[in-house]
Amino acid sequence: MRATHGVGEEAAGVAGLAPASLRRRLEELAGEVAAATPGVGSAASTAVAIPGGRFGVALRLVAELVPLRPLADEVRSRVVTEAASAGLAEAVGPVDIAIEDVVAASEGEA
Amino acid sequence: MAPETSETLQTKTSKRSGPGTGAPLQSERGTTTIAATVVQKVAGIAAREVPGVHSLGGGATRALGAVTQRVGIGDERSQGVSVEVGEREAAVDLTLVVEYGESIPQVCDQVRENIIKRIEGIAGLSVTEVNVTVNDLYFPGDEAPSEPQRVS
Repeated sequence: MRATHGVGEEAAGVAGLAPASLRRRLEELAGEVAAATPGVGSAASTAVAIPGGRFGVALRLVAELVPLRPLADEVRSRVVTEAASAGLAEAVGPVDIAIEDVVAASEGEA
Repeated sequence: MAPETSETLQTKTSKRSGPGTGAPLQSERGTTTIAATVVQKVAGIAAREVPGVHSLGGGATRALGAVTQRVGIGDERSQGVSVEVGEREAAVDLTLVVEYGESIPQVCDQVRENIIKRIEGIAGLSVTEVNVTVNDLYFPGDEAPSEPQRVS
């Protein structure tokens, strides 16, 4: 954890936020953007500091029965775009997406 | 009582690749991983869509599944299905019960086709094998009769 924070300190100054705040902001933004993407049932996100003063974002999704790789690409694209709109473009590193489960329409009704 | 038919479709290659969990697909902006349970669930749903398929899983699996589903830890959709998932390929083994009167080879072929179509369409994985084991036949009326009322 200490090493992670040490690397993250390089990110200080991006959007005027401290590294911890920046990490939390990215996590929130990525989670909100992913959950709002059509085809995503629910999403959880974490951000981890990586060398270069950026944060890698990891998203875990429960998706609907739709083509999953295009969905992952769409989520990734939206996260990057929204982060840029929020002035966090320089803070976003790779966006890793793991689709953990799928829900059929009948499950959603249950 | 339980006729057993095992058929194997050999498509592009019979070599299985990848670990039990989905291997990540790398891209410039990050990796995409599809969990093996996702592929398992898609295969189970696809098999159930085929007319003539009564249920999935062997006798013990179905009995255990009935218990685990009742306590909320099991998933009927992935019951009787096992998968191996790699970065770009998947292989599927499944056990099913066919309704009596249906052509078992035809049902198996339709199950294969539908599983391949769904997994390729949803998970974007090439399916190398779909091994189907028919482990029982379902006769209408096989369900346990309800207990007669002891008092009128």
